[in-house]
Formats: sequence, structure tokens, C-alpha cells
Amino acid sequence: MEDEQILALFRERDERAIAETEARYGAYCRQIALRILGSKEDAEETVSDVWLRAWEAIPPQHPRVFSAWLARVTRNLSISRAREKQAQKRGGAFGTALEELSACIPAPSSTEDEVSARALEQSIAGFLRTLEPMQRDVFLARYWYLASVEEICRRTGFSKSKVKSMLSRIRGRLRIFLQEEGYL
Amino acid sequence: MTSYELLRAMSAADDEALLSAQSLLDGEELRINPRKPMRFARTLLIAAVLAAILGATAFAAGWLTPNPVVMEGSVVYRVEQQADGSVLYMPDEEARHISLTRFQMIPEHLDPAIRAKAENNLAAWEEWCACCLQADEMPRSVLPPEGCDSMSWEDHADGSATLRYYRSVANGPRPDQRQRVLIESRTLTHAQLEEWNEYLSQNRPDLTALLKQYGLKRRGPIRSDRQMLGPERFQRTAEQNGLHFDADSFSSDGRCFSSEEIAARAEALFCHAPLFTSLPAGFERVYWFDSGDFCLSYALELSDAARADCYAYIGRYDVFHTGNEIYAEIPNYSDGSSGSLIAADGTMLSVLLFGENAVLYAFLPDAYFCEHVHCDRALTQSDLQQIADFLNCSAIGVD
Repeated sequence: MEDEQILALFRERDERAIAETEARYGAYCRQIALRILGSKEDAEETVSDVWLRAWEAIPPQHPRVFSAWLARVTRNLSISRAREKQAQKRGGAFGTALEELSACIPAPSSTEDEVSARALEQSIAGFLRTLEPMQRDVFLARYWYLASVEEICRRTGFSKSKVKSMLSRIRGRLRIFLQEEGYL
Repeated sequence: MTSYELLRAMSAADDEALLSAQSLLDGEELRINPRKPMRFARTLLIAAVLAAILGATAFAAGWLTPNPVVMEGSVVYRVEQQADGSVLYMPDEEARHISLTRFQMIPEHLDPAIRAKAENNLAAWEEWCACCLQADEMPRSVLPPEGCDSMSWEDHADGSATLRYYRSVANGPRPDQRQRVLIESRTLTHAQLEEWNEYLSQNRPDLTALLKQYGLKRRGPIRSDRQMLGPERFQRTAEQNGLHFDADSFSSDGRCFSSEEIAARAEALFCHAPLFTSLPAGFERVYWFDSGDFCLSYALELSDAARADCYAYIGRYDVFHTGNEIYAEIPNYSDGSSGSLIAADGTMLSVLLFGENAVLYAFLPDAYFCEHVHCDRALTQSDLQQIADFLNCSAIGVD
């Protein structure tokens, strides 16, 4: 079933919407959740939460690109779950990615409450648009989908040192960008 | 701000950026295993050769495997000149063939309507491959030698026939720059031919039924009246930008065509809007099939005046591509990388980059677009963007 048909089921409050979404995007969302959480059980629970979130959100929302919308919800729920678990035990792809990104940020800041999360999101989206397509893909693969450096190497054919170097340069640019935007 | 908030803030990345990054993760893993089992590919190779014997149906000399970017089992040969003047054709294990006519991996998040059309074509091809002749069942007298990718057939008055087996070797960077090398000649007796005919009568696949089942039309005959750049235009082009083409660039009817005429010809084939954003530095040729597929061979001048040879094939989804497989030779396959870019007209192109060579492809609404690019120096992202921007791929297809 195509996206528009699935979305129509959501709007009509037809419960088949969940089954059709599961059939079409279940594996896709599970993969995103699994990368972040590193546990099949946690990923499964998160994806169930995604379907519930979709049911609650559509309508009134009408995602322009349904797969991207689902990916975003899956990622956000997975990150929240990972953060809860991280409080108990550090590690995994999520923890590693956080440690790498922390290089962009000097220390937990007392100004964080002043920063509008929405404005930050828009700034980050703007920053991503400044990257070359390949740079952006690699950066998002690492920090959006939380793919490992090794997986990115396999997919791109780049060497490990090249991917790490590329990510390091982009993080450096991001740090400067955040400074210029007043976040740091 | 915490790194957690930063990570979370990335959720607002544009949909297109997410899909692009996802396509990178969905893509083929560029891993090389030169000693991968090749039984399946070899079976298809043999099927292709034997189809040539049939003379009735032309098989494609390409291979579709679960990992279809590379033509598995297709060996790239290098010419080695010996001290005594003879030449040896040595397999190059670092090189691979990439087909321009077989689809690359279909992206996970392709528009469902487009995906359905492409998958239907692929399904037909897979079924066709499955019913091809099997090497381990066919008469040994006609079994082609290793490395053979084409053959010819000569009948004799006494009822026997001579089979000549060839392999194809590149003699230039463009996909069409190849020469055929004879590797074996074999004469079959009348009895052996009878055995072969008997085998064919029992095992010949039914292409007509397959096309009907999938609602496809067979690729029509190639139009041989190539539109080539004439010498006058060639000289003028060379004066203008330092680029030049082979001196034998005549059209088959002896007339010289201008670049404007060639561009107009290409755009009239299967486009609903102008295909080129400007005229290329020069054309090598354009050819087309009655069924609507067509091919462009042209050159661009890159920003540093380097020349990029571009060879694009446009294959319609509703056409079954049998025969005349077109493929690019990639000498340094293991150095490859993949990515994507968005052309000026908004078309998202997937890119396979191998230093001096690149393959750009896209699953358009009505056709599969695939272009091989070669330059004498390593291609850059900037080059690829310029090349992508040059064509309005969104013009391909009919409304």
C-alpha cells in the first residue's frame, strides 16, 4: 500500500493503518531503533511506541514524506529510551556518538535552558545544508542514523581513516558554526 | 548545551537529506571478492553466447545478481605486449564491468509507483535468467571457453559449421570503445549440430510469453544511422575549446550533423522538455531503439578545461532489454565510493565514483538513467555536480 493510502487510513481512524505501516516501514524503523539502542527488545518496544505516536499525531499532522517522518519519530523515541538506559549503563552506539559530539561543546553550560531547542534545530538544519552532499550523507549516517564508522566505510568504500577524518572536520565546522550562532 | 541536545536537534534535518543519507546506508557494500563463486554468472554468460547461436533472440551479456552493481563473472582483460611482438590477454582482477543497461540497486525509498515499474522489469529479467539454458546440461561441443563473451557462426556446404569464440577488450575509456579478440575456433559436425538443435527444441525459453506476462515490449532494433559529429564541426569545436574527437566521426549517410541537430534529435526521442541545459562541447553520437531507449555519447569541458567523456543510456521501464548490453570498464574498482547529489533540475542522482571514472544513475518516473563518465584526471565532487547539472533528467519520459 502506498504512503498516501496509509495516511488516509490514519485520517479515517482505521486501525489497518498500523498494520500497513508495520508492513511497509517496520523493518526500516526497527533498524533505526536498533542502531541507537543496540537491543532487539528495546527496538521492538520503541517501534510499537512509534505506531502509537503516529496514531495520535495523524491527524492533525500530515507528513510530507511519511518515511522521513517515521524515521524522525523513531529516532527521537529511541534517543529518549537510550538516555534513560544510559543513566544506568553507558556505552553502545548512542554513548559513543554522544562522546564524539561532546567535542563540539566545551562543557555542560548554564545557558542551556536559555537556548530554544527549536531554534537550535533550525540552525542545525541550516548547517547541514552547507555541507557537500557526500559530507552530509556521511555525517547524517553517523549522527542521525548512528551507523558505525565501519558500516559507513563498507557502504562508501572509504577507508576508516578517511571517514574519521571527514567526521572530525565536519564536527570542527559544526563547532565554529555553533559558536557563530551564539550557542557556545 | 549538551551533546544529547545537539544529537536531538539533528532530528530537524531536511527530509531530502535524510533520504539521501538513508540511501547511502541502503546502498551496496563496495566490497570486492575476486574469487567469488561465479557459477550463476557463468551460466548467464553461456546463455548469452548460446542465444547468439540461436539467432532468434539476443540475450543480454549482463548479469543480475543480488548485488547487481557489478557484472559478476564478467572478466576484464588487459593487453600485455610480449617481447616477441605477440600479445597476451590477462585477466585484471582489480577491474570490473558495470552495466549501464541493467538497473543498479533500487533505492528503498523510491516512489512506490516508480518502484513498481522498475521492479516489474527486474522481475521479468530474473525470470528470464532463471529459464536460460544451463551450462551443465548443454552439449559439450558448443560449451564456450572461459572468458568468452560473444561468438560467430559460419555454416558450411557439407552441413558442418564453424564457431568462433571471442572476448571483448577495451581499447578506449568509453563503453563503446571495445575490440573483439578471437580466443577459439571450433568446427561442429552435422551430427553435433543435430544434437544441438534437439537440445534447443526442448529447452529454448519462451520470450514472447514472458513479455506478455509482464506487460513489457521487447527492445526494438537499433537505429544504425548514428548522428555523428562531422569533421567541419569537429575542427571548429576543437578550435573553440581544445577538445577533439576521433577523426572518423561521420554519420553513416555521409552527412555531417551539427551539435544543435544532434541535441534536437536526442530530445525528440523520449523527452517532454529540453534535455540539455546547453550544448555539450561536442557529441560523439546518439543512437536509439524503436522501443524508445536511447543513448547519448558526448563530451563536456570541466571547469579547469579538462575533458569529461559522458556516455548515458536511458532505458524505459516498459521495455525488456535483451541484447546489446552496454557496460563500462572500471579499472580500479576497489577504490570506489558511493554517494548522491541533486542536479540543478532537482533530480537526485546516485553516484559511484572510481577516481577517473564515475557512474551516475537515477530511477526516473518512466525510465532508468545511467551515465558513465571518464576523465583523464580524478573526478571531483565539483566535476560530478557540473556533469549532473548539465542534463535535465526530469525531462526524460512522456507525460
